Amino acid sequence: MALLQHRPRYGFDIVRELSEADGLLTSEGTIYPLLSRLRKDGLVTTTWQASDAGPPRRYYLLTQDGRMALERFVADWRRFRDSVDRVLGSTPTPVPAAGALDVR
Amino acid sequence: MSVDLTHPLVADYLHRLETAAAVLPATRRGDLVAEIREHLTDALAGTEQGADGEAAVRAVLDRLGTPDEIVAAEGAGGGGEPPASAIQPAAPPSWRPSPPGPAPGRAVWGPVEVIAVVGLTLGNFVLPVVGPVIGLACVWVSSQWSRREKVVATLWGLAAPIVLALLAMAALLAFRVEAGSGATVEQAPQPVVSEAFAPQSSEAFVPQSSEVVAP
Repeated sequence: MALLQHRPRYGFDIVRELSEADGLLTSEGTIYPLLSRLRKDGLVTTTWQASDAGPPRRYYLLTQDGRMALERFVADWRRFRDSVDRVLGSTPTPVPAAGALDVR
Repeated sequence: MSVDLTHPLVADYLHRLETAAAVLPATRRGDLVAEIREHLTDALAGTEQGADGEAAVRAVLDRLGTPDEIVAAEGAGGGGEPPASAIQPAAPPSWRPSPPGPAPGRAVWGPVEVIAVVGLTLGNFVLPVVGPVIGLACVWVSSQWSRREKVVATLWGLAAPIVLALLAMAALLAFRVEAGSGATVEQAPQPVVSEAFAPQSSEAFVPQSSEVVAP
């Protein structure tokens, strides 16, 4: 959805972009069921646009609801990431287990 | 001559896709096949026929995933059809009213399950106290385990540090008695031990665990 934030894109264009981000996409074809679900939920819509070569392509773009869902997700994700970073970053070097436990 | 959708490998793939998609509603089936055809048209653009072309076509189809994988993704995560029915061929149920199938979702481990297991095992050594607490939280959040399994995991998670603590105390007591056998037991250097470790534990660990619970 973030890829659709600034401009509509067609299927293969989305796939190419996601494939460049390592590890986000294993089977490229599964992006289409995902886009279909987003469309069914009213977060994404499609239009037809002529392509330079060959038949017109289906372009996907975000709806208003989609934009709001994306903003919510981004906020949630940042909060989650910061919490994890805080826990990982502020942890002291592990104390020898026997010493730490002996206090109790 | 460049490769198009009539290439034998591509045609075979599309045929298998249509077969696998037979379980989908008609409109969605038509859309999915059209989307994949469009994808393949773009992906194969500029690919020339020949030995190299053959390898390129195989690579494109490999990256796309199998028709079964794609059709299974139609059912996963979205309301409507459960994934099991989407994966199984649309054979009429003969003697069983509802074929149980391979318990959808049950066998799938997500990040929550992985964090749970890692937290409860390695977590003890990497982040004492914090690691296992995160692990236990993930155990309870996950839908992979039954309530009974979660209770057992929690009891074990709590029991392990307690047993370790008791063992450590027993070892320390035995050591003190041995070391203090010449002198009186009351003079054993017990304050040194607790002073040495007390500040670390109260400053470093207590705020940590409350921070973890808060978000």
